[in-house]
Amino acid sequence: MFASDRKEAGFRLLMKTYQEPLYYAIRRMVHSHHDTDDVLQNALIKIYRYLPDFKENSKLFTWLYRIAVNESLTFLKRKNRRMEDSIDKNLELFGQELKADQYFDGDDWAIELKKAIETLPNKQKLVFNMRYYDEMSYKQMSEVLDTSEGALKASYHHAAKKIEEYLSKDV
Amino acid sequence: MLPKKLKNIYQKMSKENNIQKELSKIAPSVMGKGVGDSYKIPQDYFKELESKVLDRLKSKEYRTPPEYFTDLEFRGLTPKPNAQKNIFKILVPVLSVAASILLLMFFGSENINQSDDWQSDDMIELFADEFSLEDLMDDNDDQSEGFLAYIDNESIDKYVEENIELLEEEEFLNLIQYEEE
Repeated sequence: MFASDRKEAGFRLLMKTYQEPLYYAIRRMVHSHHDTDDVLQNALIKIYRYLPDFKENSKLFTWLYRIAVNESLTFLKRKNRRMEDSIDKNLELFGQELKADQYFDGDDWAIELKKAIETLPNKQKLVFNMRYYDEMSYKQMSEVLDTSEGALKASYHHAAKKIEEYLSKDV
Repeated sequence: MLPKKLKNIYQKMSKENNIQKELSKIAPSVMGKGVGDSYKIPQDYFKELESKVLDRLKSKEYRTPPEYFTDLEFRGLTPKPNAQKNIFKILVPVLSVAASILLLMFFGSENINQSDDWQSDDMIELFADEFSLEDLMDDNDDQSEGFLAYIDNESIDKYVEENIELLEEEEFLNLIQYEEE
């Protein structure tokens, strides 16, 4: 079915190597396992399609991460369009969903942190996740997001400040 | 020289330290807490994911949309032995509409600018219908008035002048003669 068995074998290897970090990058943005599964599948299909166009100007992982990020942002845009309730109501619901999620085993503090991150605009949320959870350098982040390191530092700074404020208000 | 593995661990530790140090300045309460994601993944998820993605790729690449082959020949991709007949079937209504327009232009030139009754909606309706040449000939008075209300004498004369060589069909020649009478 594939153009060649080698192509399929190569793609299998790529999936095996990168699916887990891509999964987590997406999951931190969309939260539920079910949504992550959808977004990750779409991202992998795009990766397969556009792999011949990969120019090697950036590292492979950076390129893959960028596709995963774009897919997540597209998903969130679509989802946010459907959400009409207030932010507070949505946050409350989000906390409850997280607590009931069988694939989330964080304590109350972890839920509060997730809620705090959820108050951020998508781009800031992304920057915070990349730095805080993925421990990426600003250089790597700048390659993925095509944004200057200075702007990313500022964005991360704002994000961390807002999270700090949210958590201190809540406690 | 540090062995590669140790070097990697050292690099990771120093990177984490930098990130934590940075965080301690801007958001001390967030520092060092909950760095682990707390997200769990269902067992065997990645094994299933691989086959799900590969299945989707295979089906997307090779499945054609429903009805894809039904009118493929009309799109000129795979000519059939009787393709000429089919093309003729398509061309007949198109040509009849074109001929109708020309007929209206010549037949109704006397009535030009005489009628204000026809509006643009009527025009759209007129051309939206797939009328045949015969239908038009039987009932062309009102329609020609409406259509020709939008064209002036000068433009018809200019059109005839420019296209006289193209109007070789007997019908068209008759029409021109009729006009001159």
